[in-house]
Amino acid sequence: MIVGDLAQLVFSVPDEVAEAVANLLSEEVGAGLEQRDSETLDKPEQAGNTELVVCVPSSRVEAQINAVNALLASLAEMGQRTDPHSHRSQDIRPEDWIDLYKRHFKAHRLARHTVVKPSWEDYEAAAGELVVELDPGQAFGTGLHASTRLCVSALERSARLGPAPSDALDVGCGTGILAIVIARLWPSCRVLAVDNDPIAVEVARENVARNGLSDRIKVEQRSAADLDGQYGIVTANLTFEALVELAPVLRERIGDFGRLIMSGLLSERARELQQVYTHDLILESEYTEEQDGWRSVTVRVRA
Amino acid sequence: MKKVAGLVKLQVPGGMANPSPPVGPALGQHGVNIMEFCKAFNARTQKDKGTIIPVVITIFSDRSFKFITKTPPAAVLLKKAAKLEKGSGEPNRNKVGKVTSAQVREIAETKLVDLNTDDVEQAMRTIAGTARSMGIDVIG
Repeated sequence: MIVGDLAQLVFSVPDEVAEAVANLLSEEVGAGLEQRDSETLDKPEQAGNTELVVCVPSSRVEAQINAVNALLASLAEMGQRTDPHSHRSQDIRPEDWIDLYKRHFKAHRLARHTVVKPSWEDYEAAAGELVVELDPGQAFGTGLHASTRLCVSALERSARLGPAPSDALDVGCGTGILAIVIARLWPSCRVLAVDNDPIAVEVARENVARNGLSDRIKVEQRSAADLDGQYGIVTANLTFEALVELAPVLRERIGDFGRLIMSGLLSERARELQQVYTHDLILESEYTEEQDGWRSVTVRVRA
Repeated sequence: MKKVAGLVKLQVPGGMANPSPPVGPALGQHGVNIMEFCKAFNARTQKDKGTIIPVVITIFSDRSFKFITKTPPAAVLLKKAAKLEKGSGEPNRNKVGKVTSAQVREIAETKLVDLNTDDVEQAMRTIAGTARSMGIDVIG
């Protein structure tokens, strides 16, 4: 993630040389680029040209422009059409696009009893409803994604069936949404929420405080491999690959009557994941649920 | 049928989309759920982690979206074939590598689906042109 002063640079070049310029830009700006042409929502200012949009630290604007100009001069010498070409730049702040996105983020239901509402919106809770107040900032987890909703559904189910956990662990906490739901579902449970992304940790801490849960939820920047202890509930809304890689660690975190709720995987990978976790017959798959092509898997220690 | 508002085209490393630019500004300004896109894109491109993947996002008038991923750019496939980290910044005087015409054919066949043509010879000419513009010679 880029921090500090940012500039958005737009290069306008003839279609024929767009690929070579895009390649140069991708090599120098690791995060990738946006391409605008006659088919896209934002059209190039110059008809017949392609616009390539990158964000770079303000200090690198000039070097980037020079590199593109050198390439274009070189291509022109080789007989390629490089005119007309131009560039423009403007300063850009993360708030600009986050604010635009926020306008479209409304209160919504996560599962049967749980509703998430943005911190800037009012919501009247019905009887028995749990409300999570959330400001997503730049971290993952707004509850708009099926993988988050599946976790919340599995947590609600766990609360119905018991036993109530005294300690819970949320691995890859993002905005902190699942840690907050856990603390709301079990009013005496203590939660450790970890993420390896410092921005997520900051956003999660703010959300935990906003929900008045700082006394029961601890948010730490830690990698999952450094964790120890056992927990009555473990949530891991990650990716299939991360869940497989972390299997040796996550398995050890499940207490005797505890559950590990995993999500973030496409439905077709669920069977493979269950196999990874249950092949030695120490754990068993207890529950799985699907939404929009995504699936959650809950495992526990075999009785 | 939902009404289509328009398309956004991005090139993002597989498995590594995040809310920073270019994804955040390009999608945020159209009200698309940035995190949802990142999560779906990363899940679908995990096997090509780190390789630049062109992605075309269709945005509907209700802000929902769908997307398709394409084959990596010809430039990326050419660098792979020539075992290069980077293309040349000055391809007229600084040649950085070479590929065989058999490799160009292989890349052309991979790219046919995205190049709007069924003609392999034509696709090979396009790929060879891209190779020259990156300082990669085509031999054999």
